[in-house]
Order: sequence, then C-alpha cells, then structure tokens
Amino acid sequence: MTAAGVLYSRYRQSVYGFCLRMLREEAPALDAAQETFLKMISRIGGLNSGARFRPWLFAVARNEVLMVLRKRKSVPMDPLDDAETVADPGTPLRTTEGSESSALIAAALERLRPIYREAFLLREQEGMTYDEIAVVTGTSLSAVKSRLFKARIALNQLLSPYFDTGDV
Amino acid sequence: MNHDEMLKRIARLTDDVLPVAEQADVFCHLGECEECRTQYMMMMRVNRAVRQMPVTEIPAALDARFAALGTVPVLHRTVRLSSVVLSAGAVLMMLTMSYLFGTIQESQLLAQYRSMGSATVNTTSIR
Repeated sequence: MTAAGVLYSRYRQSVYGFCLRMLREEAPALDAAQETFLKMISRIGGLNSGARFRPWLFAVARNEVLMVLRKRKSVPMDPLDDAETVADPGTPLRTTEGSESSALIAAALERLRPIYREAFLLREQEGMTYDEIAVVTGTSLSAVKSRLFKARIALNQLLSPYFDTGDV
Repeated sequence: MNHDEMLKRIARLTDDVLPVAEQADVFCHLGECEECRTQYMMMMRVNRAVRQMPVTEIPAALDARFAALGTVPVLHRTVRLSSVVLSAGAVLMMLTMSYLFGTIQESQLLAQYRSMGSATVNTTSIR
C-alpha cells in the first residue's frame, strides 16, 4: 500500500464523519471528503516537516466544508457574523421513538452554528487538543475556548428537556 | 467569582482541562449551587452521549473513487463482503463440481471396470 493509501485508510472514517456532521447530507459530505484526500495527495509534499498531519488534514477538510456552506449561503461561518447566536432557534428536536441519546445529540448538533459545531466535534469526536482545534479553524486559543463553552451551554439548553441528569 | 466565570470553569472541568488547583473551588460551588450542578450534570451527560454516538457509515463510493485513482486499494466493507460472498460461491461451486465430477468418474470407473472385468483400469482420466 502506498503512503497515501495508509493515510487514507487511517483518516477516511474521521474525515468523512466530520464532513457529514458539518454538512448534514451524504452527497456533499462525500464530495468534500473526496476533495480533501485529493488535496492531501497533491499537497502533502509541501507540508512543513514540523507540522502535525491530522490538524493539517482537518483544516483541508474544513475548507472543503466551508466552500459547500458558502455556496448554500444558509449559514454564517464568519465569527463576526451573528456570532452571538450559537444555535438555530426552532421547533423541538426531531426525535424518533425511543429518543436515543445519539439521535438527540445529532439533532442538537445540527442546530449549532457551524463555527460552534466544528469546535465541539473536533474536541469531542476527534479528541483534538485546543491547540489543534485552533490550527484547524485558523483561530486563536481563546476563540476555541469561547466557542467550546458556548457550544456546551447551547447543547445543554437544547437537550435539557430530553435528558435526565439524575443518573450522571 | 461571577456565575458566568464559574460556568466556564465547569465546562473546562467536564472537558478535563481545568487545572487541579482550580477544581476544589468548582466542586465546592457545585455542592452549593443547584443551577450550576444541573449544568455540570448535563454537560457530563452530553459528553458521554457524544462519545457513544455510532460510527458513521462510509459510502462505498468514497473508497471506490480512491481505488480508481490507483493510490489505494479498495477497502470498503461492502466490497469485502462481496468478495466473501464470491469466494463462498466459488468454494460451493467447486465442492458441487468435485462431487458431480467425482460421481461421474466413479460411475465411469465402475462401467469401465465391469467392461474390462478384473483387468487393469485406465486411471489416467480419473483425478
């Protein structure tokens, strides 16, 4: 297997998962993941030897996601644009019968604005450090902390009607 | 310390990044403030639920597109599953053929043996 093949095998799941959670639709997520790996193959030679690969790869994936979101023109990605609104207001979360935690979480994540959703996903699903998230999102450490905090508070608000906290 | 600042500390506590030196203050506050305690428990609950979310299924198209580039082998489970099915089918076919082939050869052998009596039997066509 080639080096690109090894990297692809290692990161295909997480990159596609990130694109899907951000874009919420399979087809554009597939395209974004594909473009990410194509760019990985073409640009990896230019990667600084001191740079960490995973944040770099996710930064590429994030840019692909951003392009799709900008084309949709439905959600602001600029932190200066409506930054105080963390989650989309709306009807109660759509839940299936049984209201499993994962379904509720997925529905709540969809409500978060992309800049908060990406920070939360990179932290909780990818296990990235705050520094790594800052690299991926091209923001400061304090911005990462702030976004994560706001995302957590927003998720608490969205999910509190559904989650029983007595068993924590 | 105001309420917002305490909430930020609580969030960092649930994220395992709050320095140990600051944790005692937060736990003391949690013991006294029901609102913060509820927030803390919700954050813990959400974190746990997020980590238990099922792994995303990868469309076969993603692997197929990269396999087409020639840089990576086809890896998707669907392909592997089809390979398994094909392999199983091939094995089944081989077993069936060998059984049928063996039966035919056996009958041929018997016929040949009968026609030749106890003389030598041509075994070159029998495998």
